[in-house]
Amino acid sequence: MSNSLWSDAWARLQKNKLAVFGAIFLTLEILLCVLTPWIAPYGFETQNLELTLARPSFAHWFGTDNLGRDLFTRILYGGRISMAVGIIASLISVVVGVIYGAISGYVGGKTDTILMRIVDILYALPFIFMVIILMVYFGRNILLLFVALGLTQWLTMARITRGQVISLKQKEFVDAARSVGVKTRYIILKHLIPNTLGPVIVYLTLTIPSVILEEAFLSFLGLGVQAPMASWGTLISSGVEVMEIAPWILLFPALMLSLTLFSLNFLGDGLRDALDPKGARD
Amino acid sequence: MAILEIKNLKAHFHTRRGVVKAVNGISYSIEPGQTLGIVGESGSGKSVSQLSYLKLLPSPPLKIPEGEVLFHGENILAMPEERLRTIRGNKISMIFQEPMTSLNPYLTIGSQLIEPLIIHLKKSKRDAWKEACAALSRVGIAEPEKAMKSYPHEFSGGMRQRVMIAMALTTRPEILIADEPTTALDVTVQAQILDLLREIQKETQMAIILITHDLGVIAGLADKMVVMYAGRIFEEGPVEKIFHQSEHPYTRALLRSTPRVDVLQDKIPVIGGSIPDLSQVGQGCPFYERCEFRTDICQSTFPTSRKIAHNHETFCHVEKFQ
Amino acid sequence: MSATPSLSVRSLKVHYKLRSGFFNFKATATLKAVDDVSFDLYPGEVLGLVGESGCGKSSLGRALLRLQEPTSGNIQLGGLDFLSLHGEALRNVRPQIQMIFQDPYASLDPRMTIEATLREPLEAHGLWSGIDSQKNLEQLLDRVGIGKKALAKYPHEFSGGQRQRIAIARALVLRPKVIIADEPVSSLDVSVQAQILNLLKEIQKELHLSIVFISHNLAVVKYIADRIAVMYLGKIVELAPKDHLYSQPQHPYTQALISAVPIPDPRIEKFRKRIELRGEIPSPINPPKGCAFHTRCPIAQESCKQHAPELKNYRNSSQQFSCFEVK
Repeated sequence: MSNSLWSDAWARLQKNKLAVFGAIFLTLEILLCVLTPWIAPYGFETQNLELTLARPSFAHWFGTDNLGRDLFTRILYGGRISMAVGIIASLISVVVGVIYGAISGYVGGKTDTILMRIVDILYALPFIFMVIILMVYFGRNILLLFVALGLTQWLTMARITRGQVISLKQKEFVDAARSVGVKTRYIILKHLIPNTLGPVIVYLTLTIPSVILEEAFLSFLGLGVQAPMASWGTLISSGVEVMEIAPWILLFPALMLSLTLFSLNFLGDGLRDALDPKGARD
Repeated sequence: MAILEIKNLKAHFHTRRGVVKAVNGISYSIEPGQTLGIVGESGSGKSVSQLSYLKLLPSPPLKIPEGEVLFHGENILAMPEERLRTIRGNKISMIFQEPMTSLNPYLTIGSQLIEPLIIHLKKSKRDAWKEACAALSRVGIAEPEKAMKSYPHEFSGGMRQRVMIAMALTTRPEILIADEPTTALDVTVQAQILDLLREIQKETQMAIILITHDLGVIAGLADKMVVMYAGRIFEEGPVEKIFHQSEHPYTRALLRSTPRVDVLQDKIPVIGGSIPDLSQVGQGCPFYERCEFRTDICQSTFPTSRKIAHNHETFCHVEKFQ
Repeated sequence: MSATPSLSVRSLKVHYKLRSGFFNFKATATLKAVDDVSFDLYPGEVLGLVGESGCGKSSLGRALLRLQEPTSGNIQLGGLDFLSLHGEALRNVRPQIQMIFQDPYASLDPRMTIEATLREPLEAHGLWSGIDSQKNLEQLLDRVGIGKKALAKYPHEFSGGQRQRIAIARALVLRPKVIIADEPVSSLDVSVQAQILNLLKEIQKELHLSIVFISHNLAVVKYIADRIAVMYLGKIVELAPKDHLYSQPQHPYTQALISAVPIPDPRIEKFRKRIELRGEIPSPINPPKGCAFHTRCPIAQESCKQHAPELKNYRNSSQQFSCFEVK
């Protein structure tokens, strides 16, 4: 009957009600988004020009927009885009950041100094402006959006990973592995990375909301996804235009976005507390 | 006439895993000019026993369900916070193991030293400054004026501990509680600090409560001592008696299993097992599992005090150790 | 001692260059952690290495395992020039010299089971062979006083003393000839220290191991070591068999050190006259010129500030120390 740090963390996570709520909400949401093509009541482009800006009703749960498109359907499809951007961009930031940070931290010395100075310099650049410039210059390619947003987040991930690796490098169990003759690549794979996963996972759950928000912001400015595709950002943007006559068009996408962000934050906080090995010994 | 009398003190931590009985009913007293040594290993409750009644531990999770701590006859546990504050850091001072964490790294030594003088003794800043310099001199710091303007990180461990002692002494406390004051120091520096404490005590007739796991330190400094284990007191008495005529299996085993520089030991007898989980202790003797003299009653009931001599008592059911 | 040493160290130096500046390129000072150390370790012998902070004993221990590469010097391990080996050749020799670390809470990877931790050395050298290896591990754990049920458990489920036993088992898995024990009992309670010390003593005798036992605790070293080297600011100032060191210490630092250790007996301790050393231990960054100890030495002379003494034998005995003033 083993009692690993993971199962211990899982048990503690389950006790955190907010985190559990967040996890359940996100799971349902992801499920809905994945199953959207089958469960959406209407096509996302289906227009009904006789029923524009309609209030929520039985036929249209969230009402319709200015072209008579069902808002609920649009939110579902928008969710697919927003969530995809969030997850993929964050994963890109994790992969780039973790590898960069791990190498910098483990190799140390001049390499570490140079790599980290580069990070410091990049930190000083206002990234959102860089992304905007890229989008304007290269056009609004959704793949470019993913990559660009991912690259805005990797810097902090690199710093976190490097910090973890440096403190782990000095831990005696790493010395023990070296003294026993374990090859460097196995030390990184079997000792360093599993011990960095904790903070990385936590930061990941906090990066996703950041990216979704950035995408929403870009779309709001008109630089994100193109019509007729929708993301929560574009929906919020159109909602603002008709805010006074049809407030629900702004309300529902904003609500979805907020709830998703809250859930991710609750889950992230919960994971951080649960995975902290010091908290395990009360 | 005892300055401090602790009667049946209990201090429990209420945690997710259960109630940790860190201090489980201890009693002792200390007279002016006396050095009381509290010896114990980790989990014995030696530090918690002092930190608890001075309200230096977060509560919750700490609760003091029972006991009295009489300072000049007045129960500290029943005192309101403002009254306690006039005693703590003033009449009862404390120094800790890690001087780096006890001193504020952002303030100069000087500003930290004059603080208790201004707050407790209501001195003016100038007078406090002069007295603080004198205190630094007293503890062996050359160039006290310069030291007052320095920051903690500019000093070595030994010097910082001297500063801590100076700080604790400025208010001329009646009791100095020293919690593992030399454990983090090199042995040659430890010798200097212990000698310093001895000199100061001779001068001021201050009482010292010395908490440590090091039997050698106790032997050199303490007049009377208390042996603690898992929240209980096992033996209490004059240092000379406890070291040479102990009547408790734990004390005897501890003394025998301590390596010494002056004696060639071929094989040190060992105490098997390990210290029990403090959230699982029952009503019996916590040393039961590891004791070679244990009997059935030891498991069910913690022994009451048995007087060996007028000031030497032990807490053990067993009377003969042959 | 006529046998061939298991480990031979000559003129070992571990110097760190301290850097500053925006890109950390400018070298400002040198930290001489280990400054020209030589000694031999014989088969079946326990050599104690004692000293206070800054003496370099831990750096020396790590350098012996090349966890920290020495700046210069020579190490002969089992007849091989240890420092000249790299890569695969180095890894193949590592099984001969293993380490027991100080902190039982940090020396075991918290995310690996005990079995995984003990298998790792064998797998790294291609020595794991299923059931037989498993049985050997169980026997090894048994020998150090831990039941085989421990294999499936994680480090945090054990106490400090138990973890240290597991650390000892790990050090023995590859059947080394030399073990470097870096303060192996310093983090343990007194009642547990004796258990681990006795275990080490037994195993050392059984397996005829050579051990370098590093500690700041002179009493512990007296119990377990055969010969003892006293270090100060990166140098060995005295090297003697146990009984000689404690009964007739020659170097003033050794004398002061021994006199400073508290003795658990009030009849003795309350009446001792200590040898007081002036001042504090200097920093190993740019240590004092001449004899490194002269700033605190009770018998220092002018010449001690100019020249650094060498280790010399005392009256034809096997006791060595480095001081101009003692005859």
